[in-house]
Amino acid sequence: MNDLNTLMHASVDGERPDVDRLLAGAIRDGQRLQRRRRMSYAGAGLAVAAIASAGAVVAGTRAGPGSATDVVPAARLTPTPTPSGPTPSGPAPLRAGQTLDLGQGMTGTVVTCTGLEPSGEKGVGPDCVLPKRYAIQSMSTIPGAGTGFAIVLTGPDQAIEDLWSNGFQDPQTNDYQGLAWALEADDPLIQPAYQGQGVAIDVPGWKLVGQVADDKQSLEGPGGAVADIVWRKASGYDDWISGMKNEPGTWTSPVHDGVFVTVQGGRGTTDADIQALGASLAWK
Amino acid sequence: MANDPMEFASFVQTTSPQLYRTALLLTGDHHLAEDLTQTTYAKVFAGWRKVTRAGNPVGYTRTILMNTFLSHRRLRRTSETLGRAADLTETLADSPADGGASDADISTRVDLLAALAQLSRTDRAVLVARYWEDRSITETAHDLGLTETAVRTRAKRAIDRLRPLVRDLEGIL
Repeated sequence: MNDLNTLMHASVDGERPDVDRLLAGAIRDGQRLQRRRRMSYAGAGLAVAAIASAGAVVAGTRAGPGSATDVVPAARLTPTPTPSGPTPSGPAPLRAGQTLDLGQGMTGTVVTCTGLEPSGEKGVGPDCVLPKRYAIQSMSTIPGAGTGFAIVLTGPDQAIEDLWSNGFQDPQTNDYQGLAWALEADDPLIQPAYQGQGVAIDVPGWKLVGQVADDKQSLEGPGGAVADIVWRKASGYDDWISGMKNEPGTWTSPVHDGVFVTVQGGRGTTDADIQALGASLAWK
Repeated sequence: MANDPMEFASFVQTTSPQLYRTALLLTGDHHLAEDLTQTTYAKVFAGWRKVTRAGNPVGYTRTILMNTFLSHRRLRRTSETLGRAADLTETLADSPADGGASDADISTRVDLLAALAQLSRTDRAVLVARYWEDRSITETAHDLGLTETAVRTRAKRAIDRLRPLVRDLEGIL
């Protein structure tokens, strides 16, 4: 065995995930993926049928970004399968303003990157640069027919969350490697939950560590025990409560000032620790 | 439900520690590692019947983890940079939880995780595949969609970059 392997083991051996929380989250997200796939496939079939019968164009639930001057049916983005396989010319080129019906009330609008910054890595596509009104959420690293374009998403939060959880994989865009995915920069979905709603805890031996980052703050306790406080938007409270019912190792606060927090255990914590931390928690 | 939750739960119980450590080496951050691991298992759960039919669920899951890590730059967490690695190093350095680990051990951990965070994602993935998972050049090239030459070049370049940053690597590799 090599020395880097030994150093890697020295770095992470002993680290363990919270398996119960991991499992609950994976099943919850996995079920969402299954539902999304079923709805996506059903939606694609309906879209094709509608286009065939009425030449319908795709319409979003709310206005997409920019002027959608080149609205096309979503089905046009998917190459038509032929007995001989994919067409040699590849997928139809993307154009700014095209819209896609992504199902669940979600619409994607194609926008052109205003710049491309080389990644500096062989085989890795360039970074898409968009105007500041957009916030890129994800970018394929593989160059391809989607390079130079981004899809700006609008629609229900849950649908966008599901697509995000699914790594922005969608049957209509599978042939467009290199695509970036973005939201309007002021979309409430990507604003952090934490807006200065600080908390204090009062359990002997425990302390808050560092600053809130990505809506999370760490707690350290006796014997190196660790836990996290996570700020979450009040809009997700009901779903959280129903999903986390009877979940050990997690404490959930009531809603306060548009947010609620959860205290979640990590290495070396017990459920009793978490409940004590939660009971002591006070809003500042 | 088509999936067998008990079978899946048993699979996660058995495999998650190793997968989480792989994710930790890739991301350098506990939260991101948790997210990456959970996303991976969610995808596995969604296709559990296909995964079990494939005959090598562990390998399949590892591939999904790598692909998920590599295929998209997750920019939602804007601090997925060295800054988070620095947070981790502070936590490790301050933490007495290492079961008697020496200062040198802790220093090694700090050095390596922080140094890995300075590499490109692809270079990190190459090193993790080669030196953590002990995958061959050929297997790594296949897993990551690179040529074997690219794997060799990337591994050498990445180690060259790590050497001055990680004390214990000096003069060894």
